[in-house]
Amino acid sequence: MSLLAPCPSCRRHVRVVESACPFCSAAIDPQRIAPRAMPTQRLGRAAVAAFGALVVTAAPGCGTSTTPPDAYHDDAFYGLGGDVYGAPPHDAWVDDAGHDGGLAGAYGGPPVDAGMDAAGDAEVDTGTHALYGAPPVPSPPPEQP
Amino acid sequence: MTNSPISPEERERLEKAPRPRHLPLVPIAKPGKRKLPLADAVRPIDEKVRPIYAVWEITLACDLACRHCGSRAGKARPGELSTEECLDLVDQMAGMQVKEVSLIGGEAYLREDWIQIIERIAKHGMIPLLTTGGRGITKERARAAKDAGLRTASVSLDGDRATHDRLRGVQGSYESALESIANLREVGIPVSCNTQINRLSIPHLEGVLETIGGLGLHSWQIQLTVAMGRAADEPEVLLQPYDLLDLFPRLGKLKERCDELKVRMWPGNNIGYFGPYESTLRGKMPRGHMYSCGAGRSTLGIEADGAIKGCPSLPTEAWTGGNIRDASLKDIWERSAPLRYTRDRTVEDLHGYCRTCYYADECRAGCTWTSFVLFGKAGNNPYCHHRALEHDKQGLRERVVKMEEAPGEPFDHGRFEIVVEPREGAVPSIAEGRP
Repeated sequence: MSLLAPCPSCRRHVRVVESACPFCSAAIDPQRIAPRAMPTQRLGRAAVAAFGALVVTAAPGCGTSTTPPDAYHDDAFYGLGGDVYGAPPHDAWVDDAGHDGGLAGAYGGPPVDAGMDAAGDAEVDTGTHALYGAPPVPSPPPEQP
Repeated sequence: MTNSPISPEERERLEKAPRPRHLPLVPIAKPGKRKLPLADAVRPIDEKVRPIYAVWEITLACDLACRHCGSRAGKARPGELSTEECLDLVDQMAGMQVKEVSLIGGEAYLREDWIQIIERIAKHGMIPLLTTGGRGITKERARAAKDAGLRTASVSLDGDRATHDRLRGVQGSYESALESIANLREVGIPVSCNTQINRLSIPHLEGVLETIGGLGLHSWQIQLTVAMGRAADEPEVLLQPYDLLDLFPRLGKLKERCDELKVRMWPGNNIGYFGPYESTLRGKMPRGHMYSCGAGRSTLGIEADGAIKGCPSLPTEAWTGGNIRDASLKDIWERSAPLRYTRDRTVEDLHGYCRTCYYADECRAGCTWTSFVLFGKAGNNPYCHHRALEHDKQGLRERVVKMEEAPGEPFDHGRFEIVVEPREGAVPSIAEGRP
């Protein structure tokens, strides 16, 4: 699985292992395009967006984090990995009606060690937003740890 | 008119063009396939992925006649689920740890038991949402939905009054939508808006956003009109892939304006992919960019007769994994081939440009629905900003040409081909000529 981050020069996403942007040829400093931290449990859509907003806010630069590449894994989205990625504490994030799970995993979900999939690299991610259906009510972003 | 890929004369012609009459306006849906095969074994990946977001067509009955409607909604399906079956399905969704359930149609409120369904969803702690064309959200309906626990509603606005009414197929539907928004807000239901982007609506995007901002709506979901159902009958209204070259810089500015208005832009998953505006549009998603199609991984689609799909938009015939009257939701989710599709898909399953794209491993041709209804096969999606930019860099553009009509059934599609041609020259519509 490749990891992508925006080129600081042209903003096209590039693999974080690139030394030069394949689109604008700008030299790339790997320190500036480290991959993002990921939530560690299943999140509702509003919570996913709020988590992303937190990552952007907390990142040291260029919308990135300092999470080492080997800590980044698809399974993190569904995991129970606590705050290894710098996630807020479990009870720090509930939406305006208290229904959304945030990182507290109020709705549960298979823990990350519920069984590594046999397919190995099969995606376990939310994908992007469904076209039909409604945008969720915004959740306030979680407090920064 | 500025910001339009077509001339004023062509726009006027399309605005006034009568609805195609060669197909029935509101066909009756054929009964879906039943007793579909399920795999004997459940794999760890099938147990690990769970639907987060369910989008449920609770009836195909509709009080609008949208000329881009992919499901050709109007008449209820034969054999729609009973109230008891609906409530049982809600219970099963809760058992699957679904977090949000969007009710769609048709028009969800045309089912007499829609309030009961909302109540049951809320009772389980799941979030009930509603997507509506907004022709008939009266104060009474809004109040009942609020009391039942409806958390938010998304109302369609597709342009100014004339364009919206033209696209929605009913005069006065724009005013009705605004009235519905007012009624929902009056009872305290947060409201968002969704907008189709096509050659008729595209000049009005800025105006729609100002309307949304003025009304105090919380989000704006945008999506490209896709060549399914009635939209396939009028392909000249659809964008061409190269129209994205002009669209995305505008979306970037619209996102800035959204931020000023405190309206959250919510791009649907056929808004893509990986061009220079990806961070602008999806920078607040955890990865900071799109990540392929969520059908059967995080998204669940349900048709009114109990057919289960990975995404509500996907055509019934090819993408139904089973029927809730034949098997449990859990079994269909875990053991049906159509719902496993995106769990198992690899780059090897892509074709055309997408097969060799720099982003193939992450994107996997983006929206499965958009590509499938064009070519009858998923895995090659010309509606991509990155792809349009790369063609443009070579002095080329891709044009989509309709080769076969859709048969005129709910969730049907025609067949299209891609023409790669020099970018200079006229701006033909999809309907014009074979390659």
